[in-house]
Amino acid sequence: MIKVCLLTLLSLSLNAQENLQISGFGTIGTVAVDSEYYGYRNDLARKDGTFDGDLNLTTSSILGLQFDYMLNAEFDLVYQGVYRNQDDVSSDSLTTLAFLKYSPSAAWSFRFGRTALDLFLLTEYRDVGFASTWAHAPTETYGLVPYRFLDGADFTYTTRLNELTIRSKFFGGESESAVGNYNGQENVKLDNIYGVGFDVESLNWSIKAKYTSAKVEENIDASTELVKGLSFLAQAVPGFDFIWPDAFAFAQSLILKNARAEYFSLSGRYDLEDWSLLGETSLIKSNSGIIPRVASGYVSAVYRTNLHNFYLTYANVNSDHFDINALHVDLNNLAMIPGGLEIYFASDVLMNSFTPNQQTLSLGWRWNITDNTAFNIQWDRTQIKQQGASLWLNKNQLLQPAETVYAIFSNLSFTF
Amino acid sequence: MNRLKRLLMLTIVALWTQLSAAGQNDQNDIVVIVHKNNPTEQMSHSQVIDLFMGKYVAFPNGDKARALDLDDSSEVKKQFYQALVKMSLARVNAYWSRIKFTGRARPPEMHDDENSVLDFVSQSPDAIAYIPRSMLNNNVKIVYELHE
Repeated sequence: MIKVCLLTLLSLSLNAQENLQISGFGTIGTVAVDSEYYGYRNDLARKDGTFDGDLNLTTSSILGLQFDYMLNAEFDLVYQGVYRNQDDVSSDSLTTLAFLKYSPSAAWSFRFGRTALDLFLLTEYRDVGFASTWAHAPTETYGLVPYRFLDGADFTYTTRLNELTIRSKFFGGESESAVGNYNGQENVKLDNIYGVGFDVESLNWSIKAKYTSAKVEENIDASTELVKGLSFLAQAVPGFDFIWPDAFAFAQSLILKNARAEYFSLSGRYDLEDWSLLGETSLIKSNSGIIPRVASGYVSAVYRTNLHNFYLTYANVNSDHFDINALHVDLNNLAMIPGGLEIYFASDVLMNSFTPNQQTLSLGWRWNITDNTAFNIQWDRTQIKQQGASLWLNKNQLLQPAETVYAIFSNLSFTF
Repeated sequence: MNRLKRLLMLTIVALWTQLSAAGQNDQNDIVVIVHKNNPTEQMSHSQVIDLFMGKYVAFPNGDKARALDLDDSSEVKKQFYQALVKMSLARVNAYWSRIKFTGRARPPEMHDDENSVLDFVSQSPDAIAYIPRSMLNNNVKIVYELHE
């Protein structure tokens, strides 16, 4: 679908330039952090980031190019490619949008192909720096979801009720993203994705609710190796059940394949003259032990003058840390089994790879230099709880001390 | 008596000046226009907002509309969005970048100047645009008037 879309757009652009719009967006950004233990990253996809002493230009920098072709009054073809310093640079990894849109009326819209995955309020446009007042979307909510696109279809119905605009959206398909830590990354595919969104907007306020369900298509390598190793020990070592109670059942809980995750989001916005107040609360849960219940949220106040925005944001995320001590494993005897302790500690790391616990206070300033260019500087103070640093890069996965981290973000964002 | 006559004359001149100025200001008012054969006669403030902000791009009878916009360098454009949604152009562009770069809606079609917009609307029954009142011609009609 992506290559068909690209080739079609290229050939059409040669013949009918008046129907083609070319636009784009970009951000040149720097990040500096002062953590003794952790490196900053935008989301869980990144296996590289910014540590103390680094001045990183790649974490926040991005460039996107979009082609919109109006086939006729009802059909549009859209392609968008984004470079965000992906490790794997290919037509697939660069493509965030590639779809055919059919709008038979103002009320109905159908899209087929690759669209933006609409999990939370900002997920669809979080890479468009100019679109947002902040230097970056709150990591407590958006760092958890590295998925950018949905290969499938969606349809939207919009209606007006007095001064209200009401929009309902349904979508389904599949997605894929890298998920990484300091030691590497691997692709995690989601399929059987289906979701619904409901928006109500007035002149100066809006409320949005979203729900998505997704199934993990395949197990990840880390999980596969652990399950194999632990299952082997449970079967091969006589009396292993006394050393590691219910080891086989625990090994099954490490399997991600066919696990189903659910995403909930409720957000609101209110504008009053020069002020805006917005907030979102979200929840992720699954039937897998590796993806626990994670609740997050943020609230932000923005004050605007003609050229400048000043904002204050508070964000929080909490989840249940997995306590491996609760398994009551006999570590002394396990140490005598080759590979036993390695499996034990690797299980601890895997079960806590998605258990963030932190809160951030952000203070920022945005200057609209021109109507299409903005400079943004933001100061973050993040309090990371012990063993709650899943959103950060950590050279030592087992040791996650509590720490207060300060970070400075500066971005130049633009559209054309 | 002479003093009274002088006072009366001054008052009349002052009133005349005020009325002329008001007339001039009216001519600079921005109006939203459609083709004269478009069945739409009037639109509300919120309907115009929904149309130009990509939320519901249709006339009150539900027919799809084709919204036109001016280049960012246009003073008329700045005045239009300030009067319509009380937003600067930077904020309008930030808003549209959220809509456009998610592929949710087409932004209004850009035209270089008001003459180009007027020509287009004069020939297109589904087009809608905004221009200064002073540029009206017989092929278009007003469906909404903005006041700052």
